[in-house]
This record gives sequence, C-alpha cells and structure tokens, in this order.
Amino acid sequence: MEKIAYERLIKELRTFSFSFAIGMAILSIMMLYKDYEYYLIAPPIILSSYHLLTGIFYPLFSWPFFTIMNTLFKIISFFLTIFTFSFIFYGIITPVSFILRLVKKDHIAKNSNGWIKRLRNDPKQIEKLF
Amino acid sequence: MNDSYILGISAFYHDSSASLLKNGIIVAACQEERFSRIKGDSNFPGQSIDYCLSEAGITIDRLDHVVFYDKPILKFDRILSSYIHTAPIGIRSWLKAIPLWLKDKLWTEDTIKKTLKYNKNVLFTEHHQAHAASAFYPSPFKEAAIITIDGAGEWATTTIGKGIDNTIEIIEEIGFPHSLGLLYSAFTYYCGFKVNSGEYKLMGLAPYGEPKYSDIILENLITLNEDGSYILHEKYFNYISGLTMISKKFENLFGMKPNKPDIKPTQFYMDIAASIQQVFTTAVLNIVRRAKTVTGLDNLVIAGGSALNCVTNSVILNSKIFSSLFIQPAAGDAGCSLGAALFVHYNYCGNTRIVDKKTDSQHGSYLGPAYTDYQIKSILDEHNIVYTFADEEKLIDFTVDALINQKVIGWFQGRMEFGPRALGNRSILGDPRSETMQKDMNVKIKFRESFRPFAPSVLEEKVSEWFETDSPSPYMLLTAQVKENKRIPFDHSIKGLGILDYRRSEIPAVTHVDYSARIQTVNNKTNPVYHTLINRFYEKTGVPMLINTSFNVRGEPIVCSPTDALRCFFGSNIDVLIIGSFIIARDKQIKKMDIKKWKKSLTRD
Repeated sequence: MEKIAYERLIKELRTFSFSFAIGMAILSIMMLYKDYEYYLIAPPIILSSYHLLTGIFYPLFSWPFFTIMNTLFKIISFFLTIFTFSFIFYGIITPVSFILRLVKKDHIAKNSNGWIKRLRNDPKQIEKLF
Repeated sequence: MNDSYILGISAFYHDSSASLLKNGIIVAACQEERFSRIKGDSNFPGQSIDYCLSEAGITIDRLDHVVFYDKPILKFDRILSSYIHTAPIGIRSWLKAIPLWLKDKLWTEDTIKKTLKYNKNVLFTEHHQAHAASAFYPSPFKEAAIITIDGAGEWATTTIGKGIDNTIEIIEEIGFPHSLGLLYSAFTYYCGFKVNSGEYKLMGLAPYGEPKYSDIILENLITLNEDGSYILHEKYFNYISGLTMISKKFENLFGMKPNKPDIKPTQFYMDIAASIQQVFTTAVLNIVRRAKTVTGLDNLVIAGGSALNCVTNSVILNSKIFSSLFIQPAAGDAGCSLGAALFVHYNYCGNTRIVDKKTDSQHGSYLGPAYTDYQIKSILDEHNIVYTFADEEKLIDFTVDALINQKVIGWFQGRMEFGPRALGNRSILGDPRSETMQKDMNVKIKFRESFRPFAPSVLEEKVSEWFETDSPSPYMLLTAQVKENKRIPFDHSIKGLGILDYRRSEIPAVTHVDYSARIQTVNNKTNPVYHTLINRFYEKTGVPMLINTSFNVRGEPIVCSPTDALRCFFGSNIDVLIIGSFIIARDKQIKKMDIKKWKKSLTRD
C-alpha cells in the first residue's frame, strides 16, 4: 500500500512540475514580450527551468513549491467556496424556498401523510442513477 | 458454464464495505474499517474490494456486475429539498455538505470506474432495496414480509415489502424527515453518545432507568398512527438541515441540556433511555403489525440500522405476529453491499433461488479474511513474540483452564465476522460466573463505560436451560431473560449503576440489570471450534456459556489481522492471546510491541 501511495505522489508531483514549468514559461514569454526588466523576468525563467528538470529527472524536488501552491489554492478555494455557495443559498435557494412553500410544493412537507404507496419496483431501474 | 461474479459496494456515508458473490453464493464480505483501522470508515472500500477479489482468486475484469448500494442523484434531490424546506436557515450545513456533494458524491460512478479500472456500467440499487435484499435473500424463507428501518436512505426511512422466491417488492414506505432511526439517534446524542455509533450504548443504558418520559415523547415528539405509520414533529429536531440532531425546544421539553460525552449518565438520562426504547419498540411493533396486514405472510425479515436493536427484535419475536424471524447480521449500511449484490443476482438477473428452510445462507457471517498458522507464525516471529504451539485439543484445554482461573482471553480463529458483532472468531472471552468480570473487562480491558453489559455465547442445545427462550440467536441479535431458577434476588429499591454491585444471577457477568442477556447461540455446524471450547467449559463448570465481547478496545475497529490482534493484546490487559494454534501469554513476553501509533489511532466512539 505504501508503495502505491508513493508512486501516486510521484505521479502527482511530476504532473505539477510540468504544469508549473509551462505556466512559468508562458509568464516569462509574456514578460519578455512586454519588455520587463531582466531581474523581474529571471525568477519565472528559473522556476520554469527548475520544474521542467525536476519533472523529468526527480519530481520529489518540486515538493516545496507543490506544498506552497497547494496550501495557497486551498485557502483561496475555501473562501471562494464560501462566497459562491453562500450566494447560491441566499440568492437562489432561499427565494425558491419561499415560492415553493407559498404554492405548497415543498417536497419535505409532502411526506407527512404516513405510508406512501411504492409505485416503482422495476428491477431494470438499477441501471439508472435516479 | 462461466461463473458469475457480482461485487457490491457500500461507501461514502458510514461503515463502507464490499461483498462478492460467486453464482449467488457469498464468497466474501468485509467492512473497510477492519483494514484501514479507522472506526466506521466511510472512504471508498478499496482494501475490502481487494480482499474480496483475492478470496475468489479473480481480478476486476472477471466481474459481471458492480453495484453501488444507493442512488446518489435521488439522495442529492432529498438533500436539496431539505435546504429548500428550511432556507434561509441551514447555511452552515449547506456550506459543509453541498461542495462535498458536487465534488465527489455525485460522481460515484466515475469514482468506482476510475478507482477499480472497471469499464462496464455500474448499477445502483436504492438504499432500502439493498437493505431489503440483505435481509430476504440470505434468509431461510421462500417467502417473507420485509421491514427495513434506518436513519434515511434516498427518501425512504422505513419500508414494508415482501419477498417471494427470487423477487422482492417494496410495497409502501415512510419518507424523510419522519424517521425512527433519526429519532433514536436524536436521543443517542441527547444522552451524550455519538450518533451513528453510540445507539447500542443507549440501548444498554435503558434497563437502568424507568420509562418515565414515554408520554412526553408520544405527546410531543412523535405521533404513532393506527396503521403503523408515524410522524415526527419537526420543531424539536434539527437534523433536516442543521449540524445537530435536536433543537432548543427538545432541550426545553425535558428541561435538561444534552449530556456531555464521556460524562457518566445520571438517573435522568437513564430514564430518558428507557423511555425512548419503549416508544421505539411500540412504534416498531406497530410497523410489524402493518407488515402482517399488508403482506399476509408468516415469516418476517428485517434490516436497516434499527434492526440492530436486539431488545426490540426480541419483542417482535415474542409477539408471535410472525411465526419466524430473520435479521440480517450486518443490518447497518455495511450489509447494503451484500444486499445490493444479491438484488442484482436474483431480482435483476432473475436467477433461481433455492432455500433450505432451516439454514440461512449467511455462513454464520464468517465472511472475512482468515490466516493460516504459517502466516501467523511468521508475524509472531517478526515481532519477537514468545509463543507455544498447540494442537486443537490442547489449545481448548489450555483456554478453558485459563478461563476458569479468571483469565481474560483474546480469541482469534478462522474467518473474521461480517457485521458489528464478534461471533467467536475475533472475540475477547471471559468466565460468566465471575462477579467482578463485567466491571473489570469494561474498565481494564475495553476501557469503556462500566454500565455496558456483556453478551454470552451459549451452546444452542442448552440455551433453554438458562434463558427464557428456545429460539436460536446465532448473530447476537436477540435478548432473553435469565431463567427464574438461575436468578438471585436483590433489593429492587436500588436504582442506577448501584445495581451492578449486586450479584443478580449465577452468571452475573452476562446478566443485565433487568435480568436480560443479549445471547449468541453457538452450534456445532457453523463454528465447531468455538462450540467445542464452550462445551469443554460446560463439562468442567456446568455452565454452557462464555462471555463474548468483540476483540477491540474502545474506539478501535474489531481486529482483522494477527498484527491487529497483537497490538490490541499489548495495548489492553488481556491475559492470554490464542491466535490460530498459538498460545501467547502476557507474563511470558520479553519484549513489548510498539503500540504508540496504535494508541493514537483510537477514536472517541
């Protein structure tokens, strides 16, 4: 199991290395095109070359940047998720909820009448996700 | 003719598991927690699947069908409807649940295909169809009424159905949010136990109390209708779209805050436990009567987490509404992997079902991994364990003598059990005649609450001599009263945990405070070694039973491998470990195993 987990990590690091190298390379080209100073262009070029090499030869060396980027994206996505889903909840679900309750189409409330006769028992239904 | 293989999977909620059928016969079934060592593990059961395939000696491409135990889209529909029902309340639960659903749970089919590298279509039974199939198909009945009760499936929480030959049909159901399982869980939370795992503690606590609050529950929390249906009164609960089970109104109704985890329950909580147990049993009995009316059949099978309530099961059996009863031993969600696979084999593929009217096809629920003496020896050598090899005869004699000398034995033999109960292959054993054994085993061996009762494993042929029953209970899912002539009267004015200080019968370690015992009957066919052991104990002591509790400590899944057994042995105060043909005595060990990591892995249950 440990071996499988290690192999999975290496694969993940290699993918990250190449993606990061491509990203940094695109950034460098754009900066060159926009005539940025060399001391500003150097870091993305170095990072791109470094990750390209680690991706090819030793993906474990990309671990520090992998961890930093991972943490950063986790933080960003956490706040983004809260923002987006709060908006959906209050902006869409809540008004829909009021309307459905108003027109008495609340599915949860519908279940308060005791036994519900079961209409579907077709075994072929298991081929579907619903 | 090619053999047909069906893999059932239950995952992503609690207690993941996998089961494998070969031509409809159960080859293997196992819960993921036993391998991952995470109690109630809900992750994808990769290791269980690997085990099932290796037990059958096949690879994934030999599978004819893979089936998942519920329908993710229907469940998502229920979850969305719950938020629509309560919005704008429920944002915290929404933020927790919905991203998880959109990221993972909705894509169950992809996850299964990708993880297993399986190319065919995955099948999806409904949650309660899987429960129903897990109860009916392994039962010894050609036709039976089926009842399933649990927290919630997709929408259904309680169903009545019938099984005839190879088909099952669900006739009617009660829908979310009205759920007996969730009602019981709400009280589990209120009494300070963990929801989804502490329900059996609530059941064990109930006999210490009196059902003083039953009327309050029936007047305010639940309405029981004459037709067996019921309605929960929403304002007292918070589970529809909240993060807790109960609302403030629930607390105000009883005038007490919920008991804190790990705080000894007071008499109030004992009375609450007794009350909900009584109400729950009444509600289930109503459903049983309804099932009889609707189906008109003589046999009953039950599954769903609520079917693990052995007190209620016994009331059902004794009510004689149905002439015979079968309860799926893995009645919780773990058993759904088995049910889903059986549903595909019989109901979907239309294969013929042959039943032996006497024996079920669950194989004693010994469906997990076994280890050879060779494998065990190499593990013992690897950990520098001092051991003695013994043949079966000597092993049994040694164990019985140790038990008589009040030693606590770790007993590890054959295939591991499927389901929450240890049935004599991964068990801790003790002498039921001992007055101090219940407290000692609870506190010193299992590190758990002192009020928890222990169950006896009784010789099937002797059960009626000691208990008020003659029904077999091979899966420890029924209770019975200790016979009058074996009881010792005590002062009934004593209440609560104080009762534990009094010897109540000739077998005090397995007699609960109300003289009941959760019995496992053992016969010579399903577990001959265990039967011989108990029989030898009987020959030497005149008592045909042993204390049987699961081989684990608090917060740990039941041991699976010899290494798990060794860790538990060194981490607890078990005196002797019998593992395969090897005897390991604690006092003979020179070197102790490193169990720091193991101790850290224990969770609060």
